[in-house]
Amino acid sequence: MSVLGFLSVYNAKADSHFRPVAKSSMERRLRDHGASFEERGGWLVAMKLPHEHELGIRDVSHLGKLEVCGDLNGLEGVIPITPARGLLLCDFRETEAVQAKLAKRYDVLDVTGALAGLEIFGPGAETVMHRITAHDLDDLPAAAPVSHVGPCVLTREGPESFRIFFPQEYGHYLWEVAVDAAEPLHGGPAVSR
Amino acid sequence: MSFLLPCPNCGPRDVDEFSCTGEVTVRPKGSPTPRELRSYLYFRKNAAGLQREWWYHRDGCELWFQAERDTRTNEVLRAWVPEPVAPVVPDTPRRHN
Amino acid sequence: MRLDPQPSERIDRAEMVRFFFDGQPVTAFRGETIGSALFASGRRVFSRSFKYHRPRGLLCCGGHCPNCMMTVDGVPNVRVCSVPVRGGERVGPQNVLGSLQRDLMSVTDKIGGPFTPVGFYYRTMIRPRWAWPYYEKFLRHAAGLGKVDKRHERSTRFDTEHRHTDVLVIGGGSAGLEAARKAAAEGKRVTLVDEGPDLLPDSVGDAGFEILAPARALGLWEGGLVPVEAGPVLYRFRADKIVVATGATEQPLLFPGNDLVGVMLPSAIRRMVDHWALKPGNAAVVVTADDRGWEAADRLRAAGVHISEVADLRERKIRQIAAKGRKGHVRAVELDGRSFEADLLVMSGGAQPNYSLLAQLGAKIEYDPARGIFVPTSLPPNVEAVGAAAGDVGRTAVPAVTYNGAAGKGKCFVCLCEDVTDKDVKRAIAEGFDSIELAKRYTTVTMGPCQGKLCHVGSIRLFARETETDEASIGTTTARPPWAPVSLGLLAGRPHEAGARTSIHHRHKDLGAKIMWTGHWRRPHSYGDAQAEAKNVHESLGIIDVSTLGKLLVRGPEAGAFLDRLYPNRFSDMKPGRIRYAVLQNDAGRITDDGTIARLDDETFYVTTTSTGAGAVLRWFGWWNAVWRMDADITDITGALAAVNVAGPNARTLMERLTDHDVSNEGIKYLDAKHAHVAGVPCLILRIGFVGELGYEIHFPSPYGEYFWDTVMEVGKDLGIRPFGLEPQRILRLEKMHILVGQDTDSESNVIEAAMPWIVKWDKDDFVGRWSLELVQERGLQNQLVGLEFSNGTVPAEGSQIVREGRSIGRVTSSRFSPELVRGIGMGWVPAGLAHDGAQVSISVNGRLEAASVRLKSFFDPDGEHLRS
Repeated sequence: MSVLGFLSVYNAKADSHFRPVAKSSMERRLRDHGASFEERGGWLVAMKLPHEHELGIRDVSHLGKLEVCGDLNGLEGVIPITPARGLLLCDFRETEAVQAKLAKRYDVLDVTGALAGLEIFGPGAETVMHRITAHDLDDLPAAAPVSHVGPCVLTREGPESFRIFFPQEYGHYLWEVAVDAAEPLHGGPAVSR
Repeated sequence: MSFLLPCPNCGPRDVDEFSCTGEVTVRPKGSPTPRELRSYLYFRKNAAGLQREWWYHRDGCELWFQAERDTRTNEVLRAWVPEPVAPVVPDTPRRHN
Repeated sequence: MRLDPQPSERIDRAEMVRFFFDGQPVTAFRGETIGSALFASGRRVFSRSFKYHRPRGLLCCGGHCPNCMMTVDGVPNVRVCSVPVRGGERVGPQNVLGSLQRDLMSVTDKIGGPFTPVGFYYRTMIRPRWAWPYYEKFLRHAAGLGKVDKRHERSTRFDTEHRHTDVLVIGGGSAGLEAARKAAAEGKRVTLVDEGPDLLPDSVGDAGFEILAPARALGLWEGGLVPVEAGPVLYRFRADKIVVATGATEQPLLFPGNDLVGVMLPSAIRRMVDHWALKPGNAAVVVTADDRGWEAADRLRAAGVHISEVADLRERKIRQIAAKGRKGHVRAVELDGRSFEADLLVMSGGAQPNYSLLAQLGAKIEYDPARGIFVPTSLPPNVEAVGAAAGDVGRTAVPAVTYNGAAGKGKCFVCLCEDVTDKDVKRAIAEGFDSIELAKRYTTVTMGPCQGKLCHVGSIRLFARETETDEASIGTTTARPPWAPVSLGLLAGRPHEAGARTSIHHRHKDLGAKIMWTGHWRRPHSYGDAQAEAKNVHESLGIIDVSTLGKLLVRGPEAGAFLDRLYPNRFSDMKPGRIRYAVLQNDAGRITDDGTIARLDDETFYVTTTSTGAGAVLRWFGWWNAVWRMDADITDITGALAAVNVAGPNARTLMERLTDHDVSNEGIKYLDAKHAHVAGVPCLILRIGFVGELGYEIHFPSPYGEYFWDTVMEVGKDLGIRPFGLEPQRILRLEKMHILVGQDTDSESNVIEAAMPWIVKWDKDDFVGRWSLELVQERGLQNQLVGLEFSNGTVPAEGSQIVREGRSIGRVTSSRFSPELVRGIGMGWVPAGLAHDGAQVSISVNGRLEAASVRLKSFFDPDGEHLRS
């Protein structure tokens, strides 16, 4: 384990005594909505809800997240925050390998545990976004505040589909804010698309 | 205050996204006299007009930069990252705000 | 009651809806407003005036004047003339004692008049002073608008929506529509907002731009920020360009009886006839300064109203107008002595451009004496004014300031909202309020719900005449937002609080912790028994969630040198795997934060800060490095890591069970930082002792928070493990005399006087705060932070004064009862001369003096044997 290995969720080791399980900071909120969970690659992931919303708020915190610094030109899939710093997402189980590969050319920090992720999708998603962030949705991706929490990384995944990555300690709060904003538009929690 | 501040990285953004640490001051070199020290610590020009200030894009790209602002109108004439005092050539890629 | 179908009527005669007025059902056609339905039902009196309780009826029908304000479903001050009927509403009058027809408070109009002139409550109700609360209660009851029902549940959900657009057009009249179409044709993102009720979104068709109606722009702020109220949604627009097409507001004329029921503005006639197919009256007199009066006369004639007289002020000079009434309703109109029978008086005093929004952004407003109106000039660069708002109001006469005539009897109102008459303004001037801003505040003219829309020009012209100056030199009063009254709930938005929670937060809640705010964090105060929790740390084993500690990485070849410059202490000579205490100070030598710094390898330092200081320290580091540009990078990883501190005599046994790492005193020494897997989780273990016992502060990835906590609690069960909150931690750290920055120190405290002179490495070249500390050294110590041992079982409140000979010489900054030491202990500032072990001081506690003795070494384990055990 490198000196910063204690930052990496993937560095946990299960053995006969201990079986570490990682949880999103929105786990309790989802549990309150009646979600059932399964362990996937060391993460407890919500798999089912009593009611799936078409305008959905989905927890994507269990994605692997790497902060990459250096010349980002030509780095595929990176979400640029500045010309020299970006966020790269991957399947959680691939985080270690991706980090190792990128470390040859870039300064890479594992921020999987630092950032929580929300996906807002479906009819009305744009209105929900307008109600939780003052940032111009025609200017994405971007680093910007969402409902007094900043900095967050905002991306557009489609015409009515967005993602927000934000400091995980605000998970409980931002989940409440997003679900509340979706409510008048008949939106709410979702686990699948 | 609701003016827009042009972040050198992100372009014009709501001033609420930034922190301002006030006008740019020059830290004395060597051993300042008590008078020089107090002037540096406590005295500001507080110009009614153009003022150079330090700004930090707290809720965005986290860049520290300087901006020239007209304190009467909040018009920001320019914003830039000041050149390094001494050249720094990092041999490894580093975190860049 | 209804006219035959009108070509542009807005009522659906096929569909009836019902609502309730004062408990009685009222039927309405779908599409009309509460106000029009009430008028159709025969109601003429819609409200009672603010001060005199005079009956008032429909005046503008445009949502501007105060005359139709009622309480609808518990929401006060709703202008029913422009609120569409949904069905089922409960509508009632406000500010009446009795009913709208018979308001017992209207006695103030008859007898109160001479006794309640302008500003009377400033003069006549000030003695005896003790009686003011009673006066106030009476006044608040007697005058005013609707009442907020304090027991009423939150009835409306208000949302805030942020929007960006290239061009925002405010006002959907012909000029506004034209501007919007033009900008849309250029390919711009365009939004048009209109307050209604004239513009209907579907009447424009696919215009190529967005229309928000009914919606009101509340103000213009710098940066193109325009909040727009649209029912339950507050749109917060950012626009590159703003087109103000707010039109003009029809102005009333000033004459005795100008507030009687039946006196109307042309816009009311237009909406009543065209939109709602209502006949406004039977016989009308029209007095007009522009074409609007003629248009109203044409409409009235077509609606079957007898027109007794039309007086065009552009062609005919009139000296005296008077509306004569019975029971507050117009019965006759006198023009220069000639009397006309009429129940309707349409007045049009010209139209004043609605410049308020423009003025808010710094446009200059100038008086045009030829037309008797104020017009906007020199607009800000991102703003354009079009149509009537820009001054394009058509040919108009300048009406007389007042039409009282020689024998003017009856009240002539300048301001209907606040019941201010021309006499009130004259009286205010006579009393010395000879500046318009002062007179405005004294008389409250223009300060009512219409925000001056109907009284601003009139009051300035009256003021000019009475002070024998001209309007141009008086100028306008300051235009302030909001342009239209707005519900506080709309401004407040959704009720969420941005609280940060650690990844273990819900476990604390499960355990019944009392949660408190510390900065933006939600943290456990205690789990019910702070004293027992503190004692348990000394006796067996405690665990506390310290994930809230600020955590920064400083990396790079110059990382050590960077920290050496920032702190009075030295870090560049540390060995990897070691920790040092760190106090941060600014160039004035004031303590700003503290924490620990661990060196992980040559180029990597792990810095912890106080929980509430993390953001400020991050900024401080970043700022200095923006100045110095050293080869060191700063990364905030506060949220990335959870952290718990396990402390107590059983801590090592616990650790042995959780990790393969050697946790003996050789394996992890006091002030060591070691990497290890603990309970299978990758961790950084810091052996430090804020709470005074053998302890391990374990930092690990946040997502393992609950798992880690559960595992440690389970494994430590037989070791007596018990969680402790912030309050027991405060007791424990006080026993060790560990300072809390911001509690024991303030913006005047420096490290030398805070009893940490050892931390300053004077042999370093330069560091932040050095020069100021040198000055402290030179002047000598004045005050010092010391421990205080209280006698007689007292625990003086924090902030208590330390006194000598009746004078304050210091203060207590922290105080607690220590269950371990079984006495009250504390810290405080005393004069340097008293900073020696055993010195006696007196503390003022509730007026008594209590003795305390000074302690320089920590109360508990002064030699640190527990820490190093």
